[in-house]
Amino acid sequence: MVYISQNLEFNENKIIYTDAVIGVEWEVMMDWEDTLMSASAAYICEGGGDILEIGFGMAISATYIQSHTINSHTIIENHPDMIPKAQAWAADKSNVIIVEGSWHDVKDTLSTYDGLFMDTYGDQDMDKFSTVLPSLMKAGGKATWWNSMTGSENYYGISDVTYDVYDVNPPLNSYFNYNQYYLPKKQF
Amino acid sequence: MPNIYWSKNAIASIGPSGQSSYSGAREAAEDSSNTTNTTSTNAIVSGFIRTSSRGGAAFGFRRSYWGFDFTGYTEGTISNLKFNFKPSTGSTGTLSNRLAQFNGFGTEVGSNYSTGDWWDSIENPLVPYSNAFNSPDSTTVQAITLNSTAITDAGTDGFLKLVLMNTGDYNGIAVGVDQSNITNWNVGNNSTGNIYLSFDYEAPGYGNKVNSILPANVSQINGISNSNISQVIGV
Repeated sequence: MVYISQNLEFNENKIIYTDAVIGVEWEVMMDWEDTLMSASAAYICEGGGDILEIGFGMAISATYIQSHTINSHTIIENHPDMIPKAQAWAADKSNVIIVEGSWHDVKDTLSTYDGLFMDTYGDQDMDKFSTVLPSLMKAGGKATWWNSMTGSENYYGISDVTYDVYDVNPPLNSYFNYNQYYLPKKQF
Repeated sequence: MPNIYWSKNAIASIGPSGQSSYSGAREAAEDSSNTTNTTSTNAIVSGFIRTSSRGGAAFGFRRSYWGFDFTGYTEGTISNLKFNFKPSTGSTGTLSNRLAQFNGFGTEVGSNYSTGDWWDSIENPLVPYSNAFNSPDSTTVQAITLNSTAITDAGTDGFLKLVLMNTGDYNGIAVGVDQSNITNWNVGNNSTGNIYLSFDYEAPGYGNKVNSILPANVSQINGISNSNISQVIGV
């Protein structure tokens, strides 16, 4: 069963689901990432302007993005359990636009942005991200993404990327168990 | 046609949870869990899972390891060697598998599998013992032909030790598409169960001198099958 068909469980410190077929509990996001979300938001908001966030998660990065001076904040979310939470979170924020669906499905309806943060889960189109990314960025725009790999490389194979290294101590989980997080920074 | 049932077995797995590297999981120093000498029904004996996760993919592997004692069959000639198994109906996905050389279970088939055997005790580069074969989602007994390398190893060592791998594991290629391939078998016990080797066996020829000719030089006699001996007797 694909991720967006799974029932998510929202806990105070994490979002999880259980894949009954293989009997595995998966963490989707956890609050130990707070520092990384803050740093990611800070990087893409350095120039202000229009910000695109792909994946809402626990609203950690979204909240940090809102703490910066920006014009607009577009959030794409495709999980049916997550969309209402994103809408509720955005209700009192005038510059937030919630776009429902897969980022790849809606990409042609989007604008171009000064900052972009890509952080999806169970994404069947993630291999297309490196190709699509340039079309979403303004000149001088800054992009980052959740980096599941350690060391100076990234899953998407995006070139000319620099990395800020953060020491982390995540509890054992299903998606990241290294002690250093390499925050990717790509400027167009 | 003799049958040899398994002497040792193990089912081991790693991931997919927490395993974001295909090769890192596949070639890990240790498995993350294992069961030895199982007789289970509907046991997952091989598997390969790739699932999209957070900013990448997660990979899971499951293998089973089998040891067979050929003591008593090392002097003669083994042929028509087959690996027999009974699938179950719990399987899912692409059920293509392959058998390859394994070096665990001690120098003979005397030791149980240990966690470090996961990858380190698989001959590398992989030495195939069979072509890829499909394990159907059924309970129909299957017989897989083992190649000449397996026959040689069985006869030379007196033990045949092999690993069952899903082709997603055997091929060593990190596919980019999510998939879940789970092969289930009914294992059974090690004397009358469902996992065994069958083969034809020809006992060695007469080991003493024949009219002063050394045994090593009577290959023409040694090579004659029983059905043709009447021609010799009739001389």
